[in-house]
Amino acid sequence: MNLLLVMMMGVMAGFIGALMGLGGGVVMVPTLTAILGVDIKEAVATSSLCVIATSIAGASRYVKQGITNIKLALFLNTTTVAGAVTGALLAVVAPRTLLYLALSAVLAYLSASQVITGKREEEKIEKGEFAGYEEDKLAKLFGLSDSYYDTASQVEVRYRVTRTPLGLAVSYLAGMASGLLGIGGGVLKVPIMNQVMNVPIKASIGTSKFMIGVTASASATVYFMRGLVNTFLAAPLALGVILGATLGAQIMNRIRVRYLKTLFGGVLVYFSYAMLAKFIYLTVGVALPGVRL
Amino acid sequence: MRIGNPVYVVLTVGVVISYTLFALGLAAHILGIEFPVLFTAAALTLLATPTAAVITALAVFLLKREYRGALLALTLLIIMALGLLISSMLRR
Repeated sequence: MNLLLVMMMGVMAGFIGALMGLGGGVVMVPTLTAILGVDIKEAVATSSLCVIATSIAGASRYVKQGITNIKLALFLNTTTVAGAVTGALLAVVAPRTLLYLALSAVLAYLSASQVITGKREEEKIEKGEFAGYEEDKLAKLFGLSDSYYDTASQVEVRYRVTRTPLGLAVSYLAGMASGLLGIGGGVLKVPIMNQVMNVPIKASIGTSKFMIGVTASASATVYFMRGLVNTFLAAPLALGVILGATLGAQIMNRIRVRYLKTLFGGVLVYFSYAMLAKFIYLTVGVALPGVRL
Repeated sequence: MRIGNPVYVVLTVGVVISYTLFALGLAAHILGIEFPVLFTAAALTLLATPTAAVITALAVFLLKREYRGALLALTLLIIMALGLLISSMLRR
């Protein structure tokens, strides 16, 4: 095995994961299977361990920078973890075909709205509009509103969390989609916080990064107990992931919001395409390129 | 005390320990010495770190008498434990 190649793969996954608030499994699993010929179950199990590495390496930087909203992460993770367990239970019986199509449409919509709202979010930051919303009762009860310092705009961004019941419900569905369809949670958690709950994109990314580690540790522990994690393969991958995530977390706050949202929109386009490809493969048997089916 | 500071320490310690153990294990492998226990210890450190961060958050909330935050952390820990239990039972 080429240790350097695996490590480079990890650097890329960790960097993208930290920059976008994702786990990085979308990079690790296809490359482990396609390039190194690792068995799919082993690849998924090993990557789940490395998702924890991207999460804690990225989250530690974001927590230090004050970008992560820890209370909000704990609050939303209660339903995300419950949703993931429900999804895993339903995975045995639920027909997934239409779910892939529905999720593809949702991701396409979220992608477009991320790109469209990029400039508007910068204006909201400059005018302090994130603090102008009224907190709902749950947000007020648990003190979920917070602030962070935006290095690119050089302003302290205060925000008030809104629509928490809807956020909890959608987080549950995101967890369920994660358990049912095997997609990472970050791709849904970030837009939920940003577009539903009035959390700025950078705080959403920092909070999602913290949440992912907690969610992934549950599934990775099960894989580990069943002996599916290849710890020798995980070593260079995790080393690369930690390096990449640390680098990504260092620069994320320096990037202008509109560019970050455009990048995130691009990632969502890929996920939307991947879900559509799975739907097409399951219904008509045609395999589209660039997606692990 | 800011809630983030102790959580940051726990996350950083987890990253440093797992990174060191993985690096030592790989260095030993390159030198022709197999030491798999290092990889296992690194993996266990990674697995334990997120839960340790939530437990730390719970402890800090309790110390600060922020009982609502503590309730959130405790609820999450209970759900995680239940999720792990159900997943383990399902996959037997």
